[in-house]
Amino acid sequence: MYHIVICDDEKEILDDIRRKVRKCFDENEISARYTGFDDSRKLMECMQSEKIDVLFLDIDMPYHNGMDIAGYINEHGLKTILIFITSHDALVYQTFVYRPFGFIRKTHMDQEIDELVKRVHRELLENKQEFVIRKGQELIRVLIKDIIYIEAEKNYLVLRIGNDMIRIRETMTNAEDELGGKGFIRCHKGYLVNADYIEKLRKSEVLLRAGDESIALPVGRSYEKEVREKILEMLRN
Amino acid sequence: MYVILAVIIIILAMLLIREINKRKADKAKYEEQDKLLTRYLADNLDMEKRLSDIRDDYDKQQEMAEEIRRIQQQIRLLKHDMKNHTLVILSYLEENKTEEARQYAGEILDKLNRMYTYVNVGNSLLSYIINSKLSMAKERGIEIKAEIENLPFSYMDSVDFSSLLNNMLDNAIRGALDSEGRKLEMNIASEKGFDVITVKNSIDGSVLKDNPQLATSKEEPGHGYGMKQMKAVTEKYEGSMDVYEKDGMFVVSVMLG
Repeated sequence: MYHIVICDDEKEILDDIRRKVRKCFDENEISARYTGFDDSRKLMECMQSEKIDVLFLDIDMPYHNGMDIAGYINEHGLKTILIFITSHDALVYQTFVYRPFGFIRKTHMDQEIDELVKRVHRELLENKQEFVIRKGQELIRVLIKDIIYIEAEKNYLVLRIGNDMIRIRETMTNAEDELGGKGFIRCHKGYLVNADYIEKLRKSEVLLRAGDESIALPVGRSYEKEVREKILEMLRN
Repeated sequence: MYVILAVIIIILAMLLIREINKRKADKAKYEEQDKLLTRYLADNLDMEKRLSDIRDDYDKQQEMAEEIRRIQQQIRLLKHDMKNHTLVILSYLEENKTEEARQYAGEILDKLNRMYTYVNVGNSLLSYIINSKLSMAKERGIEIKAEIENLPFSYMDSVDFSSLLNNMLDNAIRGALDSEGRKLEMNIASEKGFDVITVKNSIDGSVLKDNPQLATSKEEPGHGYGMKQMKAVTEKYEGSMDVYEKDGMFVVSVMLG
C-alpha cells in the first residue's frame, strides 16, 4: 500500500486535488492511503516519521515552501516521488536540489493529474521489477532498481547492490538481454550500468553516484556513442 | 739555522696574511652576491604579482567582453523584431491606411509594456529568448508549459546558442499553431552531466510519417531549414539530437555539453 500525501495551504484546493488524485489512482487500481496537509509544518513532521511514496506539493506555501521540502527530501535521501502544484505556466530552478517528477498547473488540473498519475503508476511498477538470480541451489530475487552495476569476471558476473557484491554464474550477454530494456546501459565490454545511478558521463569514464559514494567505471571506445544515444533515448520518458 | 727558521716564519706569516685578505675579499663577494640574490628574488616576486594582476585584469576584461557580446546579441534580436514591426507600419502607411498603422504601433507599445516575464534566469540571453518567444506564442493563443533550470551554456557561442534555441522555439510555435491543441512545452535541465533542451508542440497527426527527414517543403520554407541549423549547431558542439513523436506531441530534444 502506497502512502500518498497532498499539501496545499488553501483548504479548498487541497480537498479538490485530493479528490482528483484519489480518483485517478483508483481508476488505475493502485491501492493507497491518502493524507492531506494544509500546513507545511505538519508535512515536515510527517516526513520525519513516515514514509511518503508520492507527494503532491504546492510550491508557494508559508513556513516551508516547495523548494525547502525538495531540499529536505534530497538531504535525507528519501525515495519520495515529488510533484509540484503551481499556478504558474513556467517554473525556473536556480539549480535542482531535488528534481521533481513533474508539475501540475492549477489551471489545467484535471488533465495533468491524469497524465501524471499514469506516469507515477509506471514508475511505481518499475520500482518493483525484480531480477531473479541463481546462486548455487537457491533463487534470489533482487530489485532491479537496487542494482548499481554489473561487472564481468571470467565466467561470472558480479552484481553491485548497495555495498554488497553478489557473484553469479551468468554471461554478460544474457544480463544485457534481460536488463537492456530496463534502464541498463552497456558502457564497456565488462560493465553494464544502471542509468539511474549515472551522475556524469565523460569521454572515457562514467561516474556513478550511490548514496555518498562515487564510483568511476570505464567507457569502452566503441561504446561511447551508444551510451550517449541511450541516455538521450531514456529521456523520452 | 735561525735564518732558515726566520724565513719560514716570514713565509708562513705572509701566507697567513694573504689567506686572511682572500677570505675578506670572498666574504665581501659573497655578501654582494647575497644582496644581489635577495634583490632578484624580490624583483621576481614583484613581477609575479604584476603578472597575476595582469592575468586577473585580462580575465575580467574577457568576462566583460562576453557580457558585451551577449548584450549585443540581445540588441541584434531586438533590432530584428523592431525591423519587422517597422516594415508592417510602413506597408500600412504606403497603402494610406493610417488608422491601421496607428493601431499597430499602439499594439506594439502595449506589448512592450506588458511583455510577460516568464522566466528570469541568470543567463540573460536564455531569459531574453524564452521570454520573447513564449510571450509571442501566448499572444497567438498557444498554451505554454515550461520548466527551466538556470544553466549557463557558457561553452557555447551566444550566436550559436540563440540560433539553436530560436529555431527550436520557432519550429514548435509554427507546429503548435498548425494543430488543434495549440500546446507548447519546454524543458531545460541538466541530465547525467549533460545540458538537455527539449521543446514539444502539439500535432494533429504524425509529421514524421509523411516527412521522415523533415525536408524543406517548397511552399513553406523555414521548418526544414531551421532543423538543418539546429543540427549544424548540435554537431558543432558534439551534441546529440533526438526527434520523435509521443502522446500527440512532436518533440525535439538536444543534448549538449
